[in-house]
Amino acid sequence: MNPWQLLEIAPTGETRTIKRAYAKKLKQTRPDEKPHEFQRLHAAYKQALRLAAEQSQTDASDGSGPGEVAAEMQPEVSAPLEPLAESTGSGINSAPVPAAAEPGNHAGTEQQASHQQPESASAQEEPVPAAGLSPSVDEQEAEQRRNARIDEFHRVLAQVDAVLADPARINARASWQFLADSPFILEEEYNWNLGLGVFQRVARYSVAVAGSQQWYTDKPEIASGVLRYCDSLFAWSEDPAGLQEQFDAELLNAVLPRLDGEETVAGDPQRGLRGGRKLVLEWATPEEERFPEYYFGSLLARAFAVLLDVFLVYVALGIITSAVLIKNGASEGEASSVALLVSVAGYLVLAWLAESSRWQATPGKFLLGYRVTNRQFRRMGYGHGLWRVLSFSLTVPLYWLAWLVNCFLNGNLLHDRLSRSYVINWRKSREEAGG
Amino acid sequence: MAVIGIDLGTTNSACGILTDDGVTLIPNRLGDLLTPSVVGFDDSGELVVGRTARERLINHSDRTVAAFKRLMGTDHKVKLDRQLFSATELSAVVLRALKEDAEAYLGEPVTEAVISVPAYFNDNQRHATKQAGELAGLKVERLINEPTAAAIAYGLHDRREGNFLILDMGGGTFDVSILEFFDGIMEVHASAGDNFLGGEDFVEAMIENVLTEQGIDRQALTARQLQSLYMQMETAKRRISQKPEQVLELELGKGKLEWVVTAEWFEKLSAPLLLRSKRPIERAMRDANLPPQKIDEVVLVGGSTRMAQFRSLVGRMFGRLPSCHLDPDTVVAMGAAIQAGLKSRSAALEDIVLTDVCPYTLGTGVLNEDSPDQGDYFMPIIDRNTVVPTSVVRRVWTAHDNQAQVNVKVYQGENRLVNKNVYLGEMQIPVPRASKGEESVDIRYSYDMNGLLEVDITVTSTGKTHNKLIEFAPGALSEDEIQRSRQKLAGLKFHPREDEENRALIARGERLYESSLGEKREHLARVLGEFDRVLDSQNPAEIRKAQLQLREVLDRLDGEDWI
Repeated sequence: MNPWQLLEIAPTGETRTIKRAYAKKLKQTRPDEKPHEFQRLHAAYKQALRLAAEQSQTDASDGSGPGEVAAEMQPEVSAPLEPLAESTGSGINSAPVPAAAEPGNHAGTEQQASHQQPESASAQEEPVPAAGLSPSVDEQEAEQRRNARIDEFHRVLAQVDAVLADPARINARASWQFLADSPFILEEEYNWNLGLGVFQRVARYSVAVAGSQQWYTDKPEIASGVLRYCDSLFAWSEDPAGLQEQFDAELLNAVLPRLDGEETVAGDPQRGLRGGRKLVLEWATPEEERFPEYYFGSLLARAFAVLLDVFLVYVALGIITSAVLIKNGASEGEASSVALLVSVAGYLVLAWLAESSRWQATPGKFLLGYRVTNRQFRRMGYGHGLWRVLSFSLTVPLYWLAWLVNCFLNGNLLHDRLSRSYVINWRKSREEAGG
Repeated sequence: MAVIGIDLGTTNSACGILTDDGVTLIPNRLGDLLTPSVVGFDDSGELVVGRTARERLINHSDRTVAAFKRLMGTDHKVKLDRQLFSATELSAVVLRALKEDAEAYLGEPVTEAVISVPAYFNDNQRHATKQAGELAGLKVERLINEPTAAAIAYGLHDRREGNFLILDMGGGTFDVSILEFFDGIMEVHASAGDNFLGGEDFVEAMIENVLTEQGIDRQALTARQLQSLYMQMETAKRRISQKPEQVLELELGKGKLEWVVTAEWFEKLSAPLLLRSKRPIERAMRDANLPPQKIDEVVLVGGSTRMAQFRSLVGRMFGRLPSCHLDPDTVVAMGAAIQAGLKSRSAALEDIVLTDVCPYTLGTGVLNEDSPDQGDYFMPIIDRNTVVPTSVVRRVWTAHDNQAQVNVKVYQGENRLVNKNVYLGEMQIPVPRASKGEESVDIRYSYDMNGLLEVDITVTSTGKTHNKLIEFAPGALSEDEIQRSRQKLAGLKFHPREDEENRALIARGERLYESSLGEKREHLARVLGEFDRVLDSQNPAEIRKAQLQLREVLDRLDGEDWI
C-alpha cells in the first residue's frame, strides 16, 4: 500500500511533515490497542521517511544518505601511530607470517593528519588556554602528550611480547592485567591502536602455534578466556571490518572466531549477590537432552542389568534378612529362599523408584548407559513407573515363553509395550547424536 | 483505582503515582523515597525489607540478601535462615513492601502497577518480574523498559523535541536507549545493554583488587568481614569524586590493615568496566543509524552515573556534558508512574504515545548440515530493534523422513549458532509422518509491548495450532509453584509499620556497635539501652524524642555512606 495514503498526506520530501502526520495518526492507532494497524502505520512511516531521504538526496545530490551515516559511525579506523610500523614483528620475528599485514604501512599521510585533529581539539578543550599563550606552546604540549602515548604504547607491547614468550604466564589471566592498567586505555585513538598492536601479536602467535608441525610444542595455545579478556578491552569483535583493513584473513581467523563465547551471553549470576546463607542451583525442570534418534536397549544387556540389580539388592537386603531369620531359628534353606523372595520384591520396589526418578534407571541399567522413558522419550512419572513394574510382574509368570517372545521384539519387550514405556540405550543415542 | 509505577532496582527500589498535579514519589515507612532492595529475617523470624535489612546485611548476612535482581530468570535459589527463596519470591517481598507503603500513603488499596525492567532483560527475566508482581498481589499492567521510563520523565519534564540518548547505569545493569521525541510521540529507535554491568561490579573490582594485592583468599574472610568490606568500598566509591584520597581501616582475616583509596587506583580498576560500557553505546548508535552529532541530548540515569569517571567517558564520546537535572535515582520510578497514569488514561497524557523496540533478536534453531557438531543454526524470526508490538511468521520444514515431531526451541541472541545464544524454552509439536521436507510448521513469534514473547506454531498440513506455554524456561514458575510460593509468602509477615523507624535505628546502632571498640562502643551500648527503655515505656511523645536523639548520635558516629 502507498505509504502516503496511510499517512493521509501528499508525497513530500519534508521529514517534518511526515512526522507530524504520523504523530497525528498514531494517536488514533495506539500500539497497545491496535497492534496490527500500528504495524502497518509504522511501516508506512518508515517507508515515507526513506522515500523522503532518497528524494532529498537526488535533490541535493550531496550524498548525505545512509551510506555516509554509516561511514561516520565507524570507529576511527585510520592510521595507527606511525612507530607501529617500525615495531611490527620485532617481538615475534620467528613467526612464519609474511609481512603482508603490517598495519600502518598503507596509512597515508593525509589520513594521519586528519586523525590528529580530534586529539588536538580535545587538547585545547581540556586545559583552559591562557590568554596570550603562543600557539607553539600548544603544539609543544600536544607533542608531549603524543610522545607520552607513543612511549606507553611501546612499553605495553614489549610487555605483551614478554608474556607471549613465557609459556608459564601466557594463560594466566593475571599476567594480562597490565593491559587494563595502561593509563590512556580509555582514549579512543590510543585504545584502537594498542588493540591493533596486541591483536597482531596475539594473532601471529596463534598462527605460529597452529602451524607448527611438531606434535609437541612448548608454546601453548592462547586460552579463549585471555582472548575474550583482550576483546573486552579492545572490542575487536565489535569491528571486524576495521581489523580486516589492517590484517589478512589468516590472522583474523586465528582469533576472531574464538571470541564469541558464553561469557557475553550469560555472566555469572553469583557475582555481586550479597548475603544469604548460600546459593543453591535448583533445576526446577531440568532440561532433558534430546537426540535425533534413539536406540533400544538390547535384551541380553537388560537381562544382565536385572541380574546385577537383584544381586545388589540381595547383598544389601537379602543377607541381612537371612541372617535375622537364621538367628531366629529358621533353617538355612528356608532363610535363603525367603531372602531371595525379599530381594526380588526389593528389586521391584527399587526398579519402580529408580526408573521413575530423575536418573531414570536402576543401578544396573545406569551402568550400561540405559534409561527408561515414556513414549515421548521423557522421564516417566511415579504413577507410570508403578504401572511399568506391575506390567513386568505380569509377564514374569510367563517365564520362558515371555523370554522367547521378547527375543523377537527388537528390544521393545512385552512389559515395555504393555506399560507404554521404552528402555533406550541413552549412551549410544547420545554418542550417535554427538557425531 | 490507583495504578502505581514501580522501579524495582538491583540496589534500590522506588515507587510513584501520577496525580493531577504531576508525579509524586511515594515515601516508604521510614519516610525515604528509596527502599533498598534488601530482604531478610529478623531474630523473631519476621520479614525485614529496605534500610533496616540493609543495616543487618553485615552482622546477619546469612539471614539477609541483597542484589538478588541478578538472579531473576535463573534457577538459582538463595538460602535464608532455613528456607530457600527464588529471586522472584524475594522481589515479590520488596514489591509487597512498596505496595503496602503506597496503600498507607494513598489511603486506598493498590492492586495494579507498572513495573520497570532493564531494557536488556530477556524474556525469562521479564516473566520472572511479572510473576513477582503477581505474587505480591499486584496485577502487572505493563512492564516498561527503564531507559524508556526515564525518557518519559525527561520528555514530559522538558517538552523538548529531538533525539535523546539515555544511559542508565544502575546497581547491576547497564542500558542504552536512543529515543526520538516529537509531537507527543516517543519513539525508541534502538536499545542495547549489558545485564551484568553496574555499580556493584565496580565495588566487586575494588574488593577483588584489595584481596589479590594482599594475597587473601575470599573464602578466608568471615561473612561479616566480607560484608563490611563491601560497605566500606561502596562508601569509598561514592565519595571518590569529592575525596580523591581516603584512608580506610580494613579488617581482613586476622589483622587490620590501612588501605588508601585514591582516585588513581579507582580509575585503573574501573577502566575495563568503562570500556565494557562503551560497547552497548556503540551498538545502539549503529542500530539507530545516527551519527553522534545528531544526538541532541545525552541523559544519565541510575545512581552509578554519578561516577565522575563514567561522566568523563561519556563527555569524551559525545563531546558535551551529559544532562541529569532530574534525580538519577528516582527518575525511572517517575517514568514508570507516568506510564501507569498513561495506562489508566489520565486526561493530561491523552496526547502522548510511546513506541518501543525489542532489544535483541529472537529466533529458533534449524538443522545445521554444514557442520553438525557445532550445533544448530540460529534462524532469526524477530530482528533486534524491531518496533513492538510485532508478530512475525516463518516456516520450517521437517528434516528427517517419518519425523513424528518437530521440536521448536526458542532462542535469543545475535550469534549464528544457537548454542551461543540464550535458550528461552521449547515446544514439542507432533506432525504427520511424511518424507523429509514435506511437512512444515509455521512459527509465529508475537512480541508485545511488555517485551514478553508468545509463540504459536501451526502445522501447515493439518492447520492445527499449538500455543501452549514455553516449557523448561529457566526460572519460570508453573501454576502449582506460583500457588506454593504465594502460600509461602503469605506465611511471612512484616513487622508493624509504626515500629519500623525504631527497628531501623536499632539495626543501624547494632551495626555501629559491632564495628566499633572501646569508649565509642560503650557509649553506643548506653544509648541503645536507653532507647530500649524508652520503647518499653510505650509513651509516644517520649519515643519520638528518643528517636531524634538516637539518630543524632548515630549520625555523628557513623562514617559510612552506603545506602
